Amino acid sequence: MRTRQAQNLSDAVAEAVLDVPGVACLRPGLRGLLRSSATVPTGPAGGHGAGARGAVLVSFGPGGAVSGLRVDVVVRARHQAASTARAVRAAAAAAAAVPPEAVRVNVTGIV
Amino acid sequence: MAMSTPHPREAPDDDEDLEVLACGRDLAEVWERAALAPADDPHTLACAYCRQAVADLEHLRAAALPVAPAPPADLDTSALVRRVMEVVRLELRPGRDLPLGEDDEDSWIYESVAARTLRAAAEEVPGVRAGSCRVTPPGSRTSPARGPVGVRIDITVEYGRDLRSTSRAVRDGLARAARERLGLAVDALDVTVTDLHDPPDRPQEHRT
Repeated sequence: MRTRQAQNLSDAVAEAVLDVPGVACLRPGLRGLLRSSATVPTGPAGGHGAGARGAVLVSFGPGGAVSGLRVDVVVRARHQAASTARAVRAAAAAAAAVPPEAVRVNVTGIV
Repeated sequence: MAMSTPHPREAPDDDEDLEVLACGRDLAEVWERAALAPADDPHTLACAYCRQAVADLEHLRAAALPVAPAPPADLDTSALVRRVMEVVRLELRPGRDLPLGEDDEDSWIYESVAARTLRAAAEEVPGVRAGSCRVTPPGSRTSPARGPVGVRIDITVEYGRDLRSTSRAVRDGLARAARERLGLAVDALDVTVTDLHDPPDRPQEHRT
């Protein structure tokens, strides 16, 4: 159940992030891939769900609410990386209905 | 003029991310040299540790590239191989997470990605080739903190260039790239000229 919820949420976040100007693609680094392959929901106390092939990681708090998002992106060189990351944060937060403080953005490449 | 052979650098005590071979060279630097000019570095040719490291990289390259029919004669496969190996190296050694943007944001960038941008900025200065570039965030290796980073870059400069003005131009270029291309706050920027190199139209002098 939670896995499907996480998948839907991460798909929605991925779609929103890909619309941000300056985002080339979503791409997890090796660490993200390993984390997503090793992720197992941990029951009612909390858990994780990875989507968009590991580039969007959703964390759930004890009450089942989303407690955190991690998004790995590759950005375009003609945009400033920090500004793009900032816009990604805002877009991801809006898509997941969480405050921006709950979103961590990692720039894993520049093209 | 005979150019000096770069000597292995001592790994700084605080730089836990360097993977130093038994001969004293940084693994990433050995791989970079091998990718750029495999037969140009006498040390690599003579050193068993460096040769083994390059061979390991070749194994990775073979594993990463799918078996494919022979490419057309006019296809530049070396560019493709360079690109693939760049990705492999980046994936294997992303480096630390560096803080991007303001202190209250939670945006980060891999050290290897930032370093590549900074090295490219350094090489925009005429007569400069960039070598190792390390970017150090505040905090520890395992939990980097937010705040301005320190940048340390090694360069070689074309023989005949004014070192002081060239170094200054590199510093200005790095500061500008960090600010405008990355949005990375920098509080220390160290540029070290490690060697001189011949101008492109002048053949390298070979030593026996």
